[in-house]
Amino acid sequence: MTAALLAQGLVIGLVNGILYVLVALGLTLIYGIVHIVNFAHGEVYMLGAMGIYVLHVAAGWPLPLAMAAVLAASWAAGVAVERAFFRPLRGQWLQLVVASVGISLIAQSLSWVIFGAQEKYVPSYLPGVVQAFGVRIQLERLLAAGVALALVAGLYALVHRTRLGMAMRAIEEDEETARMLGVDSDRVASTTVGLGFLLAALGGALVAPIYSINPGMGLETILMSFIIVIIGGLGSITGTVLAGLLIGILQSIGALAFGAEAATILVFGAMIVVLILRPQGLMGRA
Amino acid sequence: MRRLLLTAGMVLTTSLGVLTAPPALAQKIFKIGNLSPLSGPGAAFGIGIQHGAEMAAEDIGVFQVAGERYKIEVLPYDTVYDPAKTVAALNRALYSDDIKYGFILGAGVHGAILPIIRQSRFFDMFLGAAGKSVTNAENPTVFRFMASSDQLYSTFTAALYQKLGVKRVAFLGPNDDLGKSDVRTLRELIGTLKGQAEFVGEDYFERGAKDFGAPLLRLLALKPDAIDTDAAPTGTVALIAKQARELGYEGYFFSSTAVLEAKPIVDIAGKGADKVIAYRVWSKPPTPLYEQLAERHQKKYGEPALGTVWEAYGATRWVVEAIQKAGTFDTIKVADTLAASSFAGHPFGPASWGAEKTYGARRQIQTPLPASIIRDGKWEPLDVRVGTME
Repeated sequence: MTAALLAQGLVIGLVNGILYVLVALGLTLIYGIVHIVNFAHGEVYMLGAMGIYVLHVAAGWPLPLAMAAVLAASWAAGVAVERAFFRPLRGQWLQLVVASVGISLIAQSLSWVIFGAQEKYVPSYLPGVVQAFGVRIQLERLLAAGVALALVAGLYALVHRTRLGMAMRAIEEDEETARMLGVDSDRVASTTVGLGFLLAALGGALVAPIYSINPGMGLETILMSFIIVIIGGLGSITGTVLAGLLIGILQSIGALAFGAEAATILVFGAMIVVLILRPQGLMGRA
Repeated sequence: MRRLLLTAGMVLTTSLGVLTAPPALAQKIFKIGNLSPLSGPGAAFGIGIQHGAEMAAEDIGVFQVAGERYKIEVLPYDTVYDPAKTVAALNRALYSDDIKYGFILGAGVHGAILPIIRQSRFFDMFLGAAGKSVTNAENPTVFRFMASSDQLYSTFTAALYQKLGVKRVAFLGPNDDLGKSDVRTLRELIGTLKGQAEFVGEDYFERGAKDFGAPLLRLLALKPDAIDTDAAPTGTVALIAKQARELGYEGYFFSSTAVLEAKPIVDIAGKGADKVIAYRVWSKPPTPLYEQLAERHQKKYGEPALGTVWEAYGATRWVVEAIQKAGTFDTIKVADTLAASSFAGHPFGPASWGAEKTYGARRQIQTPLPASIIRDGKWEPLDVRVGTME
């Protein structure tokens, strides 16, 4: 393996990793604050991509308007799902799992019916390739990675520097005490799930022009998101970022050195090693 | 009065009997099953089979076998390209719906169903890429009605590599039995080309994968002139082409998938779609029937006809012809009759059976086969050969 090849592989891995982080962040946020594993997260990601296709490509809306509409709809959907399904079942772990799996299956099945089996495409937001020091990277991937990084920073600031973030951390720590101190946990829960859905939908909207889209595209993403969240530590933003980058690099360099099958083994192997040595994840709390 | 009432009653009863009696010329139903993916990523293949068989049924109309009249009904069973669901569908077709003939799509599902087919002697109109593992002497009622991967490779590889100046070939295919089997066939075939071309490397992807950056990077380091994408679906081929071009690759892509549409590839890969070569795509209609079916399909179903439509049409017509010739629906007798026959009415051109030496049984369709290339966003003809196999 030459240095140029290794450098190219690293760049691909880092960029892919940041894209994984964007989707996984929503998952870890929802779990961290409201302790719900959202199995419908992959479908939200897919619907974000489909939303951009329907509004921007099929209906011809300008991209900023289509993106704003998709994000607003995903936020609203998150709030609605929290109020209608998650809130009444809070504290009942199994029922919550069944509910979110049910939502996932319904969303996916309806999507196959509504959108059909044909792959859809979204034209590139930023066509072209940039080359530097022998490394090539698509501008649309750089754009997606840049937006994802900005969002990670913004989310970190939200959670650690704002009153809302303080309320989120209080509820995560001890919901009952937080309520007694006047924190509106229902409002925080709605906001958190809305934000989680928004992040997933944004992830889908950003990768829509990079890959083709179909109603099944959320499956692989949700699997990767779960692996990242487990390795990083459920509820830890820093852990999710680290794990996402690690997985992206492992996949890329592993495939480069040993082939795509070996890359899959490396990723799952890393997850098993972390679970054995540090079950709470890299940055999770015991 | 009594006589009047009696007469009126007899007239009424006779009238009712006449009105409700089945017509003297009513036909029985000959059911053909369509056991293929009708939803999910493989739906285009299954829907194509359904439409092709339905159009054939319309053209055949009512046909006679051993003095009885029959009309064809094509019944769909969605397998979602899943072996377990295909087993369930086949059992339902055989034992609940009394179906003895059907299309079954996919080499990947056949491992699970071949024992059932052998035991029940179900007549399998097989559409799939795999070779000897499915069509062989142990499965006398399985006929492959589309070109197999090894048939395509043996028909086109040497000629096209020479024509296009391809010297170094890499393989990027699905990580399943088909991909692993096809790469062996390709490697062996290239080995027989005596230095004309070299097989430089292989890698695999999981079906449904979207990112091929790392495996492409690995293969591109080996400097291939051509990347064989095996029987990957349209979306996958488009993404491979797009991502390979973004990494600087300028060579050819070869595809043996049954359904490969230029527009989605061009939409996704842009100029990167140029130099994508498909073995089974006709850029120009090979027969008037092919063109008529395409127009009819557009009118009837409101969408363009895709790859499996023509193969399913040809298969349905040929099998019914064989049934009529055999004078029975007994699948073993029909299989013998079919294997010994040729068929002039296939949309691709004259059809016959071959591969007795390679597979141990004459169960591989042989028709004219195309190779087409995308140039400036459209399919253009590259080569046409008869896919003969010994």
